[in-house]
Amino acid sequence: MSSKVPSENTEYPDELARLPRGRHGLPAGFVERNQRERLIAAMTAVIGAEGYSEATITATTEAAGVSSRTFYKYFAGLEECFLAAFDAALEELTVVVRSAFGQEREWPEQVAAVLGAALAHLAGDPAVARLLLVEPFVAGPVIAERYKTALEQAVPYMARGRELRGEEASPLPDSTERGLLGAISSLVSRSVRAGDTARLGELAPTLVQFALTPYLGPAEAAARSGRVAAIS
Amino acid sequence: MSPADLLAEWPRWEDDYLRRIDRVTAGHADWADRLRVAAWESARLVRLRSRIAKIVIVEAPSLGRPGQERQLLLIEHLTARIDAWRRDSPGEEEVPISSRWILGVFFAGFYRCLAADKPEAIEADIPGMMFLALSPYRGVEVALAELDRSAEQGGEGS
Repeated sequence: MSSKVPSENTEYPDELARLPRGRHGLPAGFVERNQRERLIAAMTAVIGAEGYSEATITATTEAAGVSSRTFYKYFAGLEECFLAAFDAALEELTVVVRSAFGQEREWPEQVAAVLGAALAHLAGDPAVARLLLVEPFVAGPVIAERYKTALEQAVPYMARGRELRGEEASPLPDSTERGLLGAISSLVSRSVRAGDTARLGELAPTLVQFALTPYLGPAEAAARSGRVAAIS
Repeated sequence: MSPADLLAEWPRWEDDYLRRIDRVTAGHADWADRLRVAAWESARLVRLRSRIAKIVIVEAPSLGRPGQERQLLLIEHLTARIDAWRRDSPGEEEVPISSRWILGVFFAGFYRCLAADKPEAIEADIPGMMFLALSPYRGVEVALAELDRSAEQGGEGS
């Protein structure tokens, strides 16, 4: 879910437009989906602007154009709304990286495509970048655990690089993939925290090189990363 | 301790930590040796002062902007040290921007263990972190030799 706050459109409501006042005859399912998604988008925008520690239900409902009563119809509290926003943003990012992954046949190019697409997506939406990469470290253990689980899902994809090392090569440490993903996420998160979200794409060649090095060796990894243009 | 108290103590913790790192790494010429010694010393200090370490590495962002800024500053201080070690290392090429990667490998590793309240697990992970940090510069096979190094070989005085 992007961070775009719901716009008003009283003629034909799109998914995030405020519903017409009074009786509108829209299906109940549409109304529920509309309100919930507006709250999620509003939560994302509020977190992007204020951070989770400063976010309030009032700010979220005002941005969404719904009442607090409507908020509690969908979420028990702020943390649950944050989790929904996190899951929605992660799902959107997953669609982007799966598309990039599917356009390449070889694993090194798939890694490069995924990193490039992810960085471009995050650079284009600073609120989502903050929601996914910065606020989980502030927002408490439940959300931190969700972040950790999301990162773990990428481990099997990274581990495919081991097949490129050949049977004669010494085995890599078990911790290689988690270490790589942790370091990549740490670097990107640090850039977002430092206010460099718009320049995340510039990290692409460096991160591709480091991600590929344990599997291809530094020379081949550098050569492959040289084909990755910094994304602006 | 309140967040304000924690932040007030931070400069003292940081100065003490950085002085220890400078002391234990001073006798080594090669930057990889310095990095290894610094990593083991950091792991030892985390084990001894795990509560402070968790505040600095895991909980700092929850202390608000001052906590986030202090953490970013500490990371920059450590990155600058790695840059200097590489610059001073005999035969080393010009330092690229990648000391940030080296620091990122260790920060992520320390964070993972501290967030899980397992500070004692960091020492077992140091060889794996050294492997990831050195691979881009020394090659994969040379970096894999880090897995055979123990605390006695990589700690203070080695």
